[in-house]
Amino acid sequence: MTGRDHDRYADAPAAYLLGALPELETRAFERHVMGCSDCRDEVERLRHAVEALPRSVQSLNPPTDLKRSLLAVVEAEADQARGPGWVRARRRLRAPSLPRIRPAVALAGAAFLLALGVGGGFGAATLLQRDEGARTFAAEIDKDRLTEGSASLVVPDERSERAVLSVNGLPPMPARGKANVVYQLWLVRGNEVMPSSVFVVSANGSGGAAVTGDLGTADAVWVTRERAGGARAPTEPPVMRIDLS
Amino acid sequence: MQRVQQGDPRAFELVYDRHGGPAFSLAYRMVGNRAGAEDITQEAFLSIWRSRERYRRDRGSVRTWVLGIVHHRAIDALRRNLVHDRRRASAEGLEEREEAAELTDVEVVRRDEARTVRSALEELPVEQCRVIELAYFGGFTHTEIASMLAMPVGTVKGRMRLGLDKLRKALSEEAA
Repeated sequence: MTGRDHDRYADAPAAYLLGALPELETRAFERHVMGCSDCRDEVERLRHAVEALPRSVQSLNPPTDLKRSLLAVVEAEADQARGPGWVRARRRLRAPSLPRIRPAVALAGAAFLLALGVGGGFGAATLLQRDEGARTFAAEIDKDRLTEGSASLVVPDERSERAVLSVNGLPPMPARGKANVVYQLWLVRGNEVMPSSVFVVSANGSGGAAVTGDLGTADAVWVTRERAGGARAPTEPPVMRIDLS
Repeated sequence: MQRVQQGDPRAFELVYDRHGGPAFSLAYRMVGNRAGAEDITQEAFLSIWRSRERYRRDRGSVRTWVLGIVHHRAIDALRRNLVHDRRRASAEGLEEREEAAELTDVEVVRRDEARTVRSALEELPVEQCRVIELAYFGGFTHTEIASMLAMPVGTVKGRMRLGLDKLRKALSEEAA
């Protein structure tokens, strides 16, 4: 490590820890730190101060339906990882009166239906599961444009303003010109198409996002591919559709 | 955490119960509205669940790991301009906020910690505190801060370093 190289990064550790370096500088600094013990020591020295910052904020309670929808996805993914045998066993053991969202079977079913192949554009809308008010839908995927993957949407109850979309095995995100591409969710009500959240998928094509809004009156949820940052209106026909009606 | 890494949803629920409040509070502080904070908290915890095998105890506490992921997610959202508009439109204080009302032992400790860190921040020179807050809670880069405050980038970075160093010393003295 040359002295000149180190001088260039002399004040970078603080900015790095605060998240104030732009993406490219962050990557460059991380490469530099690998070979510079001074900067490594400085990062370690200042780290505790930065880690204390979130403790200064006013303590708020997250909404209860956030936990419910989050755990619905987590339990579904845990069941999928354990395999269909586990899902069947858990169904047998489950007390019938126990109120609980149980989208696991639905997700397994979604994967199965999609594996059969809804080939050539969209198939029919699929409500897979209705359990204790929670509804799980398999997304209809335009197989001409998204050649692999599956997706499902869990709506905790009729009045909920939050649903969770979970995707698996989608192809890598394409680039559009020089810009990165994200998936964007849309809430559809009659002729209105309202933007919701955006998400990206991991290297193995999995990901998830919350869909917020009045889901009780929405007709459908769409997913399109948009430039990073999202769009105000869809720039392409949906690559996924979930019919809620 | 070991049970979470083995894929146990019940153990993950405990992690959420323990750290969901601080995570949501941090996200709210950064994006300034409830809907944005909910999105970020949800995405962060799903990411934590899906990357649970990457957690290493020797690199820090679970809380530090969780809050680090929330911070990164919030910065991503702010830089994608997803919540800047909502943040501008949100009238601070008018929007519904549900302060943690229950004074459990954990909550008492949290509030003590919050007071300690806030008072250490207040002791910093204003210009150092400002650049730290704009960067950490505002999600702004050093160049954006330099432009906002009409000062060289080097000055911004220097103030960040000086401010964090003072904060570190103040917190160490408090702990001692």
